[in-house]
Amino acid sequence: MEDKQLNSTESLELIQRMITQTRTNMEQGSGTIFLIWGYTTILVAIVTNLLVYYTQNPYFFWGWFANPVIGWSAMNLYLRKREKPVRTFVDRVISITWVVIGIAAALVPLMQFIKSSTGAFVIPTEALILSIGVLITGAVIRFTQLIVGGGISMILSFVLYTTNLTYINVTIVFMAMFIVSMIIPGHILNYRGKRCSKS
Amino acid sequence: MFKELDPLLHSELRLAIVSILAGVESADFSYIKGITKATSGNLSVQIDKLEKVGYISITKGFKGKVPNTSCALTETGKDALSKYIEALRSFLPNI
Repeated sequence: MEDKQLNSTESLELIQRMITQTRTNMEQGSGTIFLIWGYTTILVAIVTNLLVYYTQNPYFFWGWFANPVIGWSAMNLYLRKREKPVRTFVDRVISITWVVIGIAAALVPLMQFIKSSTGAFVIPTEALILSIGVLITGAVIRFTQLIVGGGISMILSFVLYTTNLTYINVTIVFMAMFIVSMIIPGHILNYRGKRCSKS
Repeated sequence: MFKELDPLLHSELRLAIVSILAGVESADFSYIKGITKATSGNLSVQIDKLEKVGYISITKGFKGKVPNTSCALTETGKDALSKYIEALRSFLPNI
């Protein structure tokens, strides 16, 4: 591109082209964070449950705390490696949303220990908080799969509050929620990003 | 009646820089260079001109150990682009 003068039509076309190209570039790789959290949560859920089931030792429920540790570490590593040469208002909104969601999600299990309760509220509350995060993100980036996934997860989290499922069944529902709200939309987002970068 | 076009924005590269920055909070020099496909020297000169009139702000820092220059459109720059588009419309009444 040179420092040449443009006519009116060329100027408007250039403005439109630059804005469109910037928007396309921003979409690349944005699903990876959902995949990190989705797969980490499912992995932690499976390992924690197997340990509790086979040992009958409730102390293995502490295994849930591995979720924020692994998730935050993997996310930080990814964000450091990922080239993010452009920052948008949407980035800031999503970032603030997930910091708040992350703090809330980390504090909820602590309540179980402070109040010495049975912890029955922990999984539905965690699910509800995370569903809200997914729903807000979907609405902000206008991505239907995230909105639908977040909405389904939110409904399922209320189902978890109101039914008396066994711990194993609750965990299965919890895992299904992560597949619907994070893993499937995450893969679709990344696929769309790759397709946009090729075209 | 035709409105006067801002001479600073009525150049291909400077208009491209301002248009890219209009849709984001900030963008790195390398990113703008990649989209505009301008040479580093030419891009630096045009960014400098836009900064001098207060249309964009520049933040210099490091990304890891690599020097990094980040650009953002100022309120003055946003107003200037908005007026520029308005002036263009006066030349093209059918859009």
